[in-house]
Amino acid sequence: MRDRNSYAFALISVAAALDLDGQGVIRQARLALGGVAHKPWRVAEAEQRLVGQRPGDGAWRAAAEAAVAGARPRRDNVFKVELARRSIARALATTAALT
Amino acid sequence: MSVGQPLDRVDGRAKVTGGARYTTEHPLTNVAHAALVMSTIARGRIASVDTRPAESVRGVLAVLTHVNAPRLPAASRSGDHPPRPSDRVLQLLQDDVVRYANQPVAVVVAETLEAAHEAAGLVRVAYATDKHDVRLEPRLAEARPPKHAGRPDQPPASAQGDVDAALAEAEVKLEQVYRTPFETHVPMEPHATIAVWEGPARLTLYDATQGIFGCRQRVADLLGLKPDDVHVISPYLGGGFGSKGPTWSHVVLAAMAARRVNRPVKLALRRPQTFGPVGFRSRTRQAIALGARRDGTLTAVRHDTIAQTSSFDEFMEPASVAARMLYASPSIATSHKLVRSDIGTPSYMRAPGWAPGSYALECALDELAGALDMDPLALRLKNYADQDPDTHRPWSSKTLRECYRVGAERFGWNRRPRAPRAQRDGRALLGWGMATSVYPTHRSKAAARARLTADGLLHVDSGSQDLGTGTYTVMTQVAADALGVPPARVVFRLGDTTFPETPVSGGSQTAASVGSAVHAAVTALREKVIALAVGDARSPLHGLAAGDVGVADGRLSARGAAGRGETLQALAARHGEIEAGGEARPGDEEKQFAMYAFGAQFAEVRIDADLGMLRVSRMVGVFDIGRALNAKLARSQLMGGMVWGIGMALHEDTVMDERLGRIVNNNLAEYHVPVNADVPAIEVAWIEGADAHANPIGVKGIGEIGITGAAAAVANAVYHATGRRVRDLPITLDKLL
Repeated sequence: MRDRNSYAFALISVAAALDLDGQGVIRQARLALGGVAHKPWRVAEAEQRLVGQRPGDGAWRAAAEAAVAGARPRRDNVFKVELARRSIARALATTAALT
Repeated sequence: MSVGQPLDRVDGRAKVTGGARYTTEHPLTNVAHAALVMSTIARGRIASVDTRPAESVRGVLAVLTHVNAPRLPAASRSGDHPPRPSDRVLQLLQDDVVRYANQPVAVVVAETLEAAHEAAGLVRVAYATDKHDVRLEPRLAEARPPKHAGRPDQPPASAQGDVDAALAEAEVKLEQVYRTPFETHVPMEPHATIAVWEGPARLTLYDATQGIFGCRQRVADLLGLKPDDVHVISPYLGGGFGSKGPTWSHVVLAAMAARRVNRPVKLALRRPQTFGPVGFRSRTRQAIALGARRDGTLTAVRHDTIAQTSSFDEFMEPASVAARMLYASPSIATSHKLVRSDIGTPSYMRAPGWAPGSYALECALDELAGALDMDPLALRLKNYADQDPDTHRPWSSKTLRECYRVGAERFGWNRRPRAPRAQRDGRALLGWGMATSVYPTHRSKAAARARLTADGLLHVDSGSQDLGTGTYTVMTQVAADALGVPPARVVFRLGDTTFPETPVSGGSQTAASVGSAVHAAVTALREKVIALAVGDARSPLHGLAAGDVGVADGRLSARGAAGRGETLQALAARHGEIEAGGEARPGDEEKQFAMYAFGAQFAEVRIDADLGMLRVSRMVGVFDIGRALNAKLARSQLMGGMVWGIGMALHEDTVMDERLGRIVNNNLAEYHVPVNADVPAIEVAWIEGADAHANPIGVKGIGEIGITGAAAAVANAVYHATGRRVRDLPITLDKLL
């Protein structure tokens, strides 16, 4: 997510990976965020939250909530909490569609 | 006729082969390189400077600071406002005062560029810091009216009718505040100068300037030289957008440094050094009130702008001036005020005032249309001004109605649903917006010289500048037609103060001013050539009346008997070089007419409904620009303006760290301008037809009109897509979540 369509530092970036079992249930997940801290930020709680779930909006929302739980935004980047939620949901949905 | 044709740039080959020499590329021998050291605080004094580590770098020739820099003539040192309104108060190492962050505080001169920059990084400046304030909003109560609104002929305030009463009685009323950010020009080519002393009081400057004659005068004044002893050369510019209009500190500092080391000195600003000390567009806070009857007839327009200037100089971003003349209304009141801040001095930036002002006014019209449940274009037509509401003069020409019609047709405006958030394409919300463009048509006195040489070539010289916009090419076309030769037989030169005098390339006035002068000079030459032919016993045209001789395609011939004649080359071969001068200056037209370029812009945006990611997906601009001298260049100029409008709407923002008073994003990675991926297919058109009154060649300026209204069209499209009105540019994703 960025302020112009090419070459701009990310406001939020999301890396997501999903491993589904034969039944289509999430076996394991990896989720990391950029642009939210002084370093890339892996969100293990959100990953855990996804394990055993079926892909879908409910799972994505729960993972996104877990990912931003405890986030402490500053005056000028409050929007990033909501943007992170939505970006995570989009990234997971996109990933699931590819899996 | 060459004028109007989409002739390729005559300097195109030189540019793509590297033959065109930009300021830093002039091959001079024995050139030393200078690097600036900039202040890191926004207000205070220089307590001490330690130059020893810098001086010990191999190859360093001199380090100039306020301690050892030459004292300039007293008049130059004082803080008094300089004589011409476009001149800025400069920082020339004459005192220890720091007035803004990124102010030049030392100049290092070295054998190589690398040594100069290494040493510049080693100059240790200690400051006695004072409390600074770079903010606008918390200090609005301190705002004071400027001397004028951007130009001496524009008063700071205006009033027609009784706006207060009209607003009180208005059936529908809209009051809103719009904000535009601190914007920086960032031309591709940063500012640069090479200073060469030809003698104790004779100076040559190769300078990236939009005004060679203004530069000559300013530098002469500051250094105590005669203007004739300052030679300014500027054949090519990599953009300017107003930032190279005034002469800034580095130009004079280069000359001071060259004198110190007794060698030519080259000084090119690094990109971060162009943020602050060489002008920018001030942020604006614009309060607009509109009153209307239920049928959409405007009864009141109020537009009050507050902007920033520096603590030591005055420049007003005149954002309220468009409201004075764009729509008919029985009451119109406008004002401008300034807050003084610890920042560099703002300056002219593409469509000063008109760009941010048209954003606010045209968004307000859109909001009013919403309040009236009226089509935004219909609201504009309802209030179409058939004469200038400000001066009550007739327009020199105005085809805005056609611009609206053609633009709406090409865009498909009549398919636009009235309600916002009504168009979707998959995940994307789609929105359509429109706005009016307007920019005044100016010109200034200009002169040119034309010579027909023995080889039959037409040489035309005129001071002037080519910012990359195509001055070389359009002047070639104007000259070719005025004599009657193909453009390939014309050699046009510019960018040299030994050529006839011309104005600054600003205010979209170059084509009108220099074009009229070139036309006058070549027309005078043509008359001279014909007079020579009819008076020359060796010419087949001998004895004819001058009026019976025409010139076309390089050949003189008798009217009605084309076979009787000779080529210009044959005539010139017998007579040697034939020369004529010409001049053009504004006349009574400025008192008789209101002269403006107009336009209608339409934009489509697509916004990811969840994530707020926004893209302009389509734009149409149709303009009233008088006669287009070159269809290809005109299209490029107008399109470039519209691209600037996209940047203004969505990207551009010079971010200040208020605690430090310093600019955070002083580079092209973080100061966002639109890149290819942000620019959609843009359709540009104009209404054909010369302006019969504005100037002899019938043009209106096109360098700035394209940005006006563009940001509003985009902002209005964003509202239409989302139902959210962002009144604070740029419209970034965070404002749409």
